[in-house]
Amino acid sequence: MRRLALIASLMLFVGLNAMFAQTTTITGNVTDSESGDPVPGVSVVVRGTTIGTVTNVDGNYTLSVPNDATNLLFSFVGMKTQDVVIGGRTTINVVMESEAIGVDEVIVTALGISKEKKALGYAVTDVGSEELQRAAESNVIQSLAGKVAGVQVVASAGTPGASSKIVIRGASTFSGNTQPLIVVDGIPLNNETVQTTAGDYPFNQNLSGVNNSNRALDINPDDIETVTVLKGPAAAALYGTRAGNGVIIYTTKKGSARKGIGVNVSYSLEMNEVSQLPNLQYEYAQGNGGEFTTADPGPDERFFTDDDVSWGTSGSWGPKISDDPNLSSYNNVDEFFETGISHNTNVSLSGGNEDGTFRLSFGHTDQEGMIPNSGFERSSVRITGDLKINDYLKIGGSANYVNSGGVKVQNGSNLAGIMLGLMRTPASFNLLPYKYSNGFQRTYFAFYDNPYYTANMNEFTDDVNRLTGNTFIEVKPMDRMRVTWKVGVDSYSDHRQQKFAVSSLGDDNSESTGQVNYNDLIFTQYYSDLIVNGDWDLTDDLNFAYTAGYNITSSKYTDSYLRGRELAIPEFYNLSNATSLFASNYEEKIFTNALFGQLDFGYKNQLYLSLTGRNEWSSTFGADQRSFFYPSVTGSWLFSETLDLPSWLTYGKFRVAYAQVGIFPEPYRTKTFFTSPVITDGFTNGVSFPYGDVNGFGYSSTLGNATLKPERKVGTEFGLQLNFFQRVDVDFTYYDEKTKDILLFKPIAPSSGFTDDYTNAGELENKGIELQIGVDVIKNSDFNWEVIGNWSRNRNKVLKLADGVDQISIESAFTSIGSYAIVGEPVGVFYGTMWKRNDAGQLVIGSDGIPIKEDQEGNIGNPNPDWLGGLRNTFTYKGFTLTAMLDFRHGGDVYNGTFARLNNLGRTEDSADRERDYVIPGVKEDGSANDIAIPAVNYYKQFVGDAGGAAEQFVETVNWVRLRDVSLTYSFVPQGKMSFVRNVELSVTGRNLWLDTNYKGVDPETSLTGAGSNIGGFDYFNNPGSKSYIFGVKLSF
Amino acid sequence: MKKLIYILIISLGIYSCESKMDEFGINPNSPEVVTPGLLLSATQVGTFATYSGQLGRLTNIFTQHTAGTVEGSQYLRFANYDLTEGDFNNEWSGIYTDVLINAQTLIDQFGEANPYYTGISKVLIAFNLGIATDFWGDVPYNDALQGLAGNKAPSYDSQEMVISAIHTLCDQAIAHFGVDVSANSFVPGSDDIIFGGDLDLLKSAAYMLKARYALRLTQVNETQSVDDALSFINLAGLAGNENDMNAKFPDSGGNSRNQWIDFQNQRGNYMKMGMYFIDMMDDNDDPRLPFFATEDADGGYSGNAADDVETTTTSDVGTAIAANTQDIGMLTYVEAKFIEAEAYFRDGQTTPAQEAFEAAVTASLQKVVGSVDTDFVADATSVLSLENIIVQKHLALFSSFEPYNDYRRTGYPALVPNPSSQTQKIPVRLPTPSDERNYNPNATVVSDVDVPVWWDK
Repeated sequence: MRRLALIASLMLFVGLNAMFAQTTTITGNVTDSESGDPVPGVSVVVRGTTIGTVTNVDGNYTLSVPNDATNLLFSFVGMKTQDVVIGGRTTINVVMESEAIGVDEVIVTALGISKEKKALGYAVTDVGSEELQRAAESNVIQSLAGKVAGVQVVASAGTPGASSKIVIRGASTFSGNTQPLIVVDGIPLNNETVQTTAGDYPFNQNLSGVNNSNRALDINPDDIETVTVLKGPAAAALYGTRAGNGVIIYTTKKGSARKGIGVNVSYSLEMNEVSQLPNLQYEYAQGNGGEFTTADPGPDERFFTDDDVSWGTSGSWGPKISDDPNLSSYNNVDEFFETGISHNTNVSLSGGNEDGTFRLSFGHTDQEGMIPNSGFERSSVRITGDLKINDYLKIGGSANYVNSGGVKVQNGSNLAGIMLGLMRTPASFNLLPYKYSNGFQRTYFAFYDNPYYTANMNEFTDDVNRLTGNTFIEVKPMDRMRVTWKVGVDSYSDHRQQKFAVSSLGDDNSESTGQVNYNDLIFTQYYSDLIVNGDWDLTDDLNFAYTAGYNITSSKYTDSYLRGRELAIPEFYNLSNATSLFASNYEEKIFTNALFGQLDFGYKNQLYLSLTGRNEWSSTFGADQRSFFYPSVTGSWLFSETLDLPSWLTYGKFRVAYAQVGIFPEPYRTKTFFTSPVITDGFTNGVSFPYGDVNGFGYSSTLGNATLKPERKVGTEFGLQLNFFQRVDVDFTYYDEKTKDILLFKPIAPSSGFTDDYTNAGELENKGIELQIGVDVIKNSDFNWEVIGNWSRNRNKVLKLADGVDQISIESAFTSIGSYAIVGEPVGVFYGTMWKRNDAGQLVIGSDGIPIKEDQEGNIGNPNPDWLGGLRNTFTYKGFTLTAMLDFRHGGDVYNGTFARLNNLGRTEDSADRERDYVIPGVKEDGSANDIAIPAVNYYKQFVGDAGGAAEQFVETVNWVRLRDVSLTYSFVPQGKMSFVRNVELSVTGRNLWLDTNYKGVDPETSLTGAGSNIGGFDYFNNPGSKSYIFGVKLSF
Repeated sequence: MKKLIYILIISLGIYSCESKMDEFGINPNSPEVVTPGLLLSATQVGTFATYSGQLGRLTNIFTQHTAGTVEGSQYLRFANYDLTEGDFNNEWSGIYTDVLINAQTLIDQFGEANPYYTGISKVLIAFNLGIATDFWGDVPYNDALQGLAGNKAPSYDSQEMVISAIHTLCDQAIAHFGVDVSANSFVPGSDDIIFGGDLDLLKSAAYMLKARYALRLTQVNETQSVDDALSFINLAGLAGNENDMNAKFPDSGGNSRNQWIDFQNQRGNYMKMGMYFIDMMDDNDDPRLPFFATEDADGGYSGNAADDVETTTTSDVGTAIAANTQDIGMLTYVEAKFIEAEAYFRDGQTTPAQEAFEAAVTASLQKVVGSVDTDFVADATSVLSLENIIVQKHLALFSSFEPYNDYRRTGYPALVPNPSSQTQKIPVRLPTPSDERNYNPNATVVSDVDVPVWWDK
């Protein structure tokens, strides 16, 4: 019935046209190439017009076409569109061929080798520029969140420039790098997240400091054409020792042959707001034991001087605000956050002819954060081009200059931390004004910075200048041989400045005498690939291709740090103004080279086999172990080509792969060295050298190892790709990946004189399932509804650590809770203090009414999610596109240290229920039910607070469903005077507008330690996530 | 021919890569060879960190010189005698991996030709081993510090053996200090941050240490303990407070500030003064009070009772302990005089006991206040009893670990454990650190902090 209506309306349309032009009537019949049956519903349109019709149930059509019409387009879902020249004919019969999904698509694989998708024996996922732009993220890593099965992206915070961590198919290692290799146009791009750390800073800087950027943030998303995610070892095998965590290949936009110069201009305006915050109480004032106290620096309006009246307290256990006429309640939190406004502008020019192409682009992003004074700015200029000199020689290259940086936000366990200072602020204290008249800070507790003060006065700025580029020469000296030499460079300098104003507690010895740090990071990498490849048909049925190559990679990294303390003149940040100076530096050089090759066989376009090998030498391997070989074998079978399958199963492919890849050891680990010691108990910055005017060196606490080798990851995967009814695409992958020889700081008894031994000893596995589904629910010329979804689960298990070691700390975290690798458990489980329980699992309560803790710590949670999913619905109607992406996470624990501390301090909404006693459910030591009533303050501090509460109390299992993005786009071709504009696109996008989660803290997509760390799932006064509204306009000329 | 050229180019490439590989393998950040002076200063600074850090604060909370508060979660737990095996990994490895390994490395790599450096290293090994065994009982020594040679799980020695090793090390050190200067390739100077290479002071420190560990065994063999202590004190030949072996804090260069003030600055109100200590001083108009404690919010002196974890308006640690460049006594003349007083008293020799007792309190006043109020000394020492000697020692040695050791050994002063704590018992040891329990199959694991060490019968 619906179809009839459609036909009727089309007929009417055609009829109207017919009245105004000289027309010819064309008739014909459309049949299916395979069955020979007529195909109803095929759209028949005159090219370049809206004149058209559809075939009837018998596959016949009749269409009146203008006399000047040249071509007819025949199209139908799941079939190849036919473009037929009319050539004066009045009868045109057409045979439609089915379009096997994916058959002719080409994809960029490892080392930039293009391959037909159907020939691949492993899972890859490519994401197009349109999909990336829907995310509207400025960080190309974050853009992948929720989109690719098997890929987990975790933003550290919603603050400008904050890093995003990406893990493909679970963590493959725990001491080495877990981040995938990022490749842009064939050249690796440094994506490290580096914290500024002084040489004498004794703690894990990832727990405090600012939310730094992962350096892939320097990529302008508007320059990206496609992203290919090489997930498993087989896909990435040609990258050898750098492939252990998968590879993400970005291919940038290029110019194409066209008339004139194409110009694209786009602009978007973004507004960011805080997405979710913990609930706080606003009834009780600052103080302890019901007595009000607050900080008072005395007449000089500066703390830590002789006239200080009180330092205040961090506690909110004071009197009820309503009972004291001198007290008022303030909602500092709502007041504090702002709506951050961002502007994003892109201009590109492109063009070319059959001999050469170019593209020139300029992008500018200017973000303002929701935390006052925070921001990020990026300017990018990129030029890319190629030129075919003759049939044998082609040259090309690209160059990209980026300047990025901004003001980063203080984070985490940090006396100058924004959230630490803000969330702990007692309801009775108005954070404004944040300064006294003398410019020193006004705060409620002398030891915490007022968050306004730290946001405005303690700026951390970074300024990155980065040049990346490559040149290539492609020579075809003979048939079946092409030689490509590509040389690339990635070089950046990151100049950072951290100011701590006089009177801020953020300086690293908490003297509040002012401090300034300068930190310069300089990285340069040279990369050269010489590749010879070619292919020919050995017989009619057997096709063969080969690739052989040689690679040299050389990188150098230097980190120079300068610090000046005790500033004589407030707010003057030159080192000459400091009375105490410190400097430290670090250097790292790595050199590798490799020989590699690939052989591909294809039989009858149905059976494919591919073999690869890479032999690699590296300066970071032990002197006796410098060479390693990484093989892979992959195969695929398009059984839909071989077997006679039912007609509804339109495409079927089975694939299988086996490969070995590696992960580099850190440099300078092959010997035991001496270092200048920094000794601390964790409460102070401890002692370090020079000590007065005396220097000192002692053994490093880590034993070196002369036989270091890379970690080896061995992966097997099976995949099945099916298409049903030409409409439903299903891609299923099962993988089983084992990492062996995992490098770990094997803890040894400190009484041996050393705390650990860097050694190849661990073993872990990741097994998982990935499912990607695409459904064209409705597809016709006006209205389309497309659903794509992905679902994945990964099971990670530590199989082995080292002899006699069944658990190790991955990276230092908190005293009561750490992130560990434990044999038999997933990597990164929380290890911390536990409650003592009886056989029935009940808490055992001590005589003080508080549960008793176990003497020994144990496994108390797993931060790895059970499963992840993404679901996108896209509706298009004429020029309108409405699309929405839901992102699901099920399971995975987060340590809510924020909540633990806020309970302890009496700040949580729960803790307002304090006018009563509490009896903690459990049994007393004699086995009888607990009946000991304890005051609320003991309950919130020592049971559900971190002043005694076991860490297990604060581990929450997190589920979420979020509307990752939703956008409405309208695209049209302007008419009349505006017709010089080829296309206009207007869009409204919302990001993270809706979040449904059981988590009690900030947006649980959070990471205290960020992308530069191997641990996750910690929330300790993390900066919150954001939700955004984006308005965009895009013009093409 | 073409092929040959290709092969040549590739092999040249690989050759040049080999040499690049070696060049890039050199560590620009850390040396492979050092000097005895650098190792000695690392050993000493590590010792300062151990003696003035977390362990000092913990024992002084136990002995109620100070009190933990709610402001620092861990300090609230300490106030409640709630210790976990993860709490002291840092202190344990501080002793072994920051101090002992470097002292031992000095002896192993430079010992033969450098007896003076060796002697100082041995005194420091003995001193730190003493700390370890006092807190943890049986600890590794003979089998320890051999990680480089492949022994990564040392077996434990009994406390009795460790204490005898302390004596042996000191005896050897004294012999090393006796050799002629010409037998040394290098002679210690400013790298001996404690004594500047003064051999007489070093020798007397070695004897003082022997006296400390002799008297430690009063519950094991009182007679022997007392005889030995007296003989070592005698051999020490003490002149006065200038004999003190102190942790030094120049507060210049890198981080080298007194750790008590550093803690007070960075962790304000985590710990306040203890009521027992303040009240006793206040009641007796002890002239040391304004030096041991700061004024409280009301301009007076007050401390928190053991179960008062809330109040933060009470006094902080005063400038005799917590000031930027303030020395922290590790082995002092004052302690030596108290050892002498106790030993004579136990031996029934009341006259020399009384003399030593008075000398001890006098020296303490001299050290803390800078002048001596003789009336106060007379009052404080008017009753010669074991309890009184120990109580006065408890007051004088604020910040040191000795009041805690003496409390375990003698039960004085008669402290009332925190009545709100779960155990209501002051812990008598530290739990075996989790790093040892987990990674050393040869460890003697004791997790219960109410199990006494061997000398604490």
